[in-house]
Amino acid sequence: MNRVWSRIKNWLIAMGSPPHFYRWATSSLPWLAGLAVIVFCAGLIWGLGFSPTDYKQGDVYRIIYIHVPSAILAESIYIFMAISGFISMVWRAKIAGMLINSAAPLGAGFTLIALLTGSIWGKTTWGTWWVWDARLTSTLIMFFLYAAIIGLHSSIENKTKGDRAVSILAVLGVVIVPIIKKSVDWWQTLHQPSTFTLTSSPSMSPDMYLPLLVCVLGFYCLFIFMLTNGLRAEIISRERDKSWVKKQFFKY
Amino acid sequence: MLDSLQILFIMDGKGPYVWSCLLILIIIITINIIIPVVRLKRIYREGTLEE
Amino acid sequence: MHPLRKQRIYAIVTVLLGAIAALVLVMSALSKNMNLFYSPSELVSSNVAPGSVVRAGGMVASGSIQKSTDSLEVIFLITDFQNSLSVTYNGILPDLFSEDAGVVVKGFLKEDGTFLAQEVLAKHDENYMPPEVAKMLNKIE
Repeated sequence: MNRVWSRIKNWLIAMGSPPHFYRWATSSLPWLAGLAVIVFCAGLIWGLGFSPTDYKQGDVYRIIYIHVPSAILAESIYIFMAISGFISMVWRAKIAGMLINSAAPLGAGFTLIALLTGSIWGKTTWGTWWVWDARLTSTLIMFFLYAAIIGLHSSIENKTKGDRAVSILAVLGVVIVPIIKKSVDWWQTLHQPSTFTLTSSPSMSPDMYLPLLVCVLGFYCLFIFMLTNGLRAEIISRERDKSWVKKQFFKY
Repeated sequence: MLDSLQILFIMDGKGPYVWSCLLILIIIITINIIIPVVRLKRIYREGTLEE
Repeated sequence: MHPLRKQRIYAIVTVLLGAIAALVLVMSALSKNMNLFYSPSELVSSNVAPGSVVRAGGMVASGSIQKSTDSLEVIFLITDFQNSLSVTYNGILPDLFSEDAGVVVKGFLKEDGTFLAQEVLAKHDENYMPPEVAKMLNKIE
């Protein structure tokens, strides 16, 4: 047990070193991209093209295969940033700050996708683009938190200070995630009811649920690829004056 | 084959909603993939010019 | 673990707990305002002044929809299975508006206790299923 733990620890420390991660990222990026494209496309094609229509909403319910994975991923990315922020604050690992920086635009992007697709879905089913209910509002707050993290870091010249400021925001902001998750139970919202489902009704049917699962998996794969892609640029940008970058990136 | 594609595209009139969602998804993901690539290219150009 | 790191962890946890405590206080104070709508029962018990614009929500009672033949006017009952509220609306209804489905209306209470809606939004649930399954379930019921 101890041995396994120390191996994991050594691996983490190795991956935390920018040159090592850069080398790993460069060689595995095509594989990560391939895997992401396969799972992502499989899920979306299955969901949008082959899953059955809904008895009530018809085909428009298929937006779920875009909306739900984006929303789940957006929340997961925030939790991921908070963990990175914690590591950055306690261990002062440089890579943790870089992780936050490369994850934030992705999180903001997926939150925006969830908000926009939700809005389109809402227009056709609810009859409105937007309503200030607890679920929609708390998701919008998460989008602003992502924007604040991006803005804060780019406004601070000193990278170490920037990392520290952004880490605080990432760790404290994570409370928004459980609020978003539970908002539909805690308050009366227009979004997906829990009050009216007390009447005995089945959950989503398996031939709709399985493609959704594949979509969620595909979105996660895509995130891993996108994060590796972003982190590579972040590392080179921050370490451009180091000798290893000159050797490995500029090939002098 | 063509017919079933047309049915898939129109989706009983709800097609535009579903496909615009897909478009939003693809656009935002593409932007987020391209930004780091462009950033790396720019650093490379600046770095090689200096030497 | 390095004592300095331990100290940092304690500091972070303390600040985080403080922030959560503050947030819980604020949210419990605002809790009522964070609900999007009143249920019919809440509307009856809380004295919402007639004429002030509020949202009410519930299920459209089965068999209660009366559509006017010569205008867009529609009258229906929304219920939370304890109290119900008669709603009058003049306009286009969302596609998913139907009996036994959730609905949120925005408007005001009239002096006679009925509700005049300016906007009707349909709620939907998370029970997605193919039409065949829905049909089968209907038969079983």
